[in-house]
Amino acid sequence: MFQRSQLHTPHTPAWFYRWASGLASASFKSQLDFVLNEVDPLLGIRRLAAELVAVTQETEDVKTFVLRPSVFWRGFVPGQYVAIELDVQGVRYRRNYSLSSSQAMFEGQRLVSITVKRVAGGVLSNYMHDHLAVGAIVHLSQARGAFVLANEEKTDTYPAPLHPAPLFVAAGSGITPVMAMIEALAASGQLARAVLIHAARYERDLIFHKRLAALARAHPEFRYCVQLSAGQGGRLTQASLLAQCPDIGRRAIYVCGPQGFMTSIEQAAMALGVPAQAIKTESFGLPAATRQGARASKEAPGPDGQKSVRVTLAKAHKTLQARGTQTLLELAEQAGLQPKYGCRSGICHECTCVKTSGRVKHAITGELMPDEQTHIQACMAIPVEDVAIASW
Amino acid sequence: MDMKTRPHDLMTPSELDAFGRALDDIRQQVLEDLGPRDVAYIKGVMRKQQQSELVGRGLIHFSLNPLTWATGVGLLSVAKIVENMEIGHNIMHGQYDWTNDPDLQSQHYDWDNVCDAESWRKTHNYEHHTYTNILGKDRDYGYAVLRLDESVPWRPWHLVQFVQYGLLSGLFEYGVALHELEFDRIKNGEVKLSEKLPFLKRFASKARKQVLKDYLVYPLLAGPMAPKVVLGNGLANLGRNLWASTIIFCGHFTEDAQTFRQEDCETESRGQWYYRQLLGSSNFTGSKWLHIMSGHLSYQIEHHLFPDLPAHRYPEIAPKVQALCEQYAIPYNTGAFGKQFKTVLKRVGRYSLPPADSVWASFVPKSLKSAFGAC
Repeated sequence: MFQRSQLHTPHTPAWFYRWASGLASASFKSQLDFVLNEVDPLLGIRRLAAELVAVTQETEDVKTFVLRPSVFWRGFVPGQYVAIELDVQGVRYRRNYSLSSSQAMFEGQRLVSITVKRVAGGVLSNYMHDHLAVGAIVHLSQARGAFVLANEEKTDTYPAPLHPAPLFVAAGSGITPVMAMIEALAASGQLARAVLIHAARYERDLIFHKRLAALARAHPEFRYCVQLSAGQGGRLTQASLLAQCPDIGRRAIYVCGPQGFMTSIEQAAMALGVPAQAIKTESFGLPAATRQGARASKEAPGPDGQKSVRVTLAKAHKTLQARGTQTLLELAEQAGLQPKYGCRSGICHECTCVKTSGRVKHAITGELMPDEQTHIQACMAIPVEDVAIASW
Repeated sequence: MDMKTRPHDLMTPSELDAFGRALDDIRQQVLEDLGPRDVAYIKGVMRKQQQSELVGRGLIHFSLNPLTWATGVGLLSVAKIVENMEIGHNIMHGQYDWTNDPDLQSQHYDWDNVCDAESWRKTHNYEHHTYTNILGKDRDYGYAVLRLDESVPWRPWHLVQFVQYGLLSGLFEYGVALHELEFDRIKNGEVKLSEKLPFLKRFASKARKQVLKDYLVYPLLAGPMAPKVVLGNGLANLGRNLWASTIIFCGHFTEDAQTFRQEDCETESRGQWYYRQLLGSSNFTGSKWLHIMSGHLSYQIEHHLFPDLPAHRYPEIAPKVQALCEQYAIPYNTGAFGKQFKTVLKRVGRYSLPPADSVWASFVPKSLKSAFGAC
């Protein structure tokens, strides 16, 4: 047998071995990946793939997509999410979706699911609802995220006892990671101690309502409370939270839903004496700071009539004010950054930066650049709304 | 005739502005139409290129007779040409940045060429495409090796510049890789060698990677048959170098491609920039495969007007550009591949000869002068 240790003799130093294997992998990895992809896209080693095996309608605007990930996908902890990548009209989109299926389903059938709500104007959710058919290949990341049950953070014993007992508060598609956690608790016989408050506008909007109701029937001690904001219960308040979960102060709280919902639940729970470290949240969509920034900027037009916008530079930890006349490159230079550039006239793409949110217009033509375009020429991009740059 | 065109002398400023806007419109129309067709095209080419490289390398390794080996060398050479010209060159121009696909990102792509991608983007995308054919600014004009214009003083060694031309072509990837070194400027003392150390480090790292891949790792895989792999890979690289240099020379060094003076381009408007790109570039005609094998640099004019539009779109917009040229009476330099290349050789020949006012001129036979069209 040709073993690795035999190569590693005193005559071939470690750096040489590392260097040679690095060289070989750089030369051959893409070719090997090409061959494997030609055989079966699920065998790709550069990008993880999954096959769509079923689609089920959950509510009027919510569908669950059941995926069979490739053998290189390493599994997940309930509550985690994956980044899904799809090409729509030639443009690659990437969005995070929580895994809504149980670990038992992954261990038994190697299947996982994501549950997607159709978002008005959302390119990827609409594409998935309207065009993604069984058999399609979807690219995904390994599972990630820290919104997991407290006992899952240290995974040396499983199932570890849950301490303290959990309270889940979920609204809208915020139920998706919670569903996976609840299934895990049911599987390990610990669901009896859990409380779930499931909020939606109408009953027809409750995702997984039947599945949860069935679990509640099978585990009579599991408390499943539905809070309909358009119904008698109204919105969740401090009082209704306490009424549904009198021992809230002794519980570990998991909150998932729209940003405003999570903030109000956090505030209510803290007012009821829950320590901040007992509350875990999972945010969907834009971070709160960006949204607040967007709201603030709409209220503050500049003196010259141009809207004042903010440019956030993630790596430099800087936020700049712009008034719709200067390009991103000029703004960054004024702020003391020295980004790479070349022609400064839109020819060479040397100043390309990565935009994570916000819209920009072209400095010469004045045309708005497509919203989804992340790699943009800084010398030609004038921000017209709050913009976040990841690469600077 | 080789004029130092002054763009603003030939067209009025308002004409130039209208001309610039018309070209901006052509560009915007393509931008608005970008979509799955473009991604399918480039991904399709990438797939064919990978297949060609795999089969080529496989044949070089496992060939049992010279014919299969030669087929392997041919396929590998084609794969390298397509990867450098239609895939690498075009992706690195940012033609597919809009797709958000990391495999198609201009700033991340690295090609099968000893030239470091970072260095290429600086010297080609920025310097050559911004200052096209401006003498003293566009270092691609003659590559500081050839005399292609009377602005370079004639020296007796120019008489044999066909030898340099051959060497430059055969070792083209190394010439391109060392372009950023600006050896000529180091020699004059304009630039210090120490300033070029970071570049030399990047060059060495990329060149080592390429050389080891083609001349060590792949040959080692073939065991005792290593020499035929070394030779095959070497010939494939040579074929790519000769082809790439020929295509690129046809783009800017044809007889009618014009050159410009620095002082005339200092306060250039967008219309003037477009105009200069047009006058400094030349197209050639041919079949579909010739366009693909040249990375669509057969549409050098369209490429220089719109370097970041997907190159396979150039054949679609060329008629519009040509119509615009007719409207403004601007020469649109095109012709058959063979004919254009002949004019390149003529230019190399003509400027290898001493100028008419030189004492050396009387020693040059008249037949040679007339063959190269020297005045």
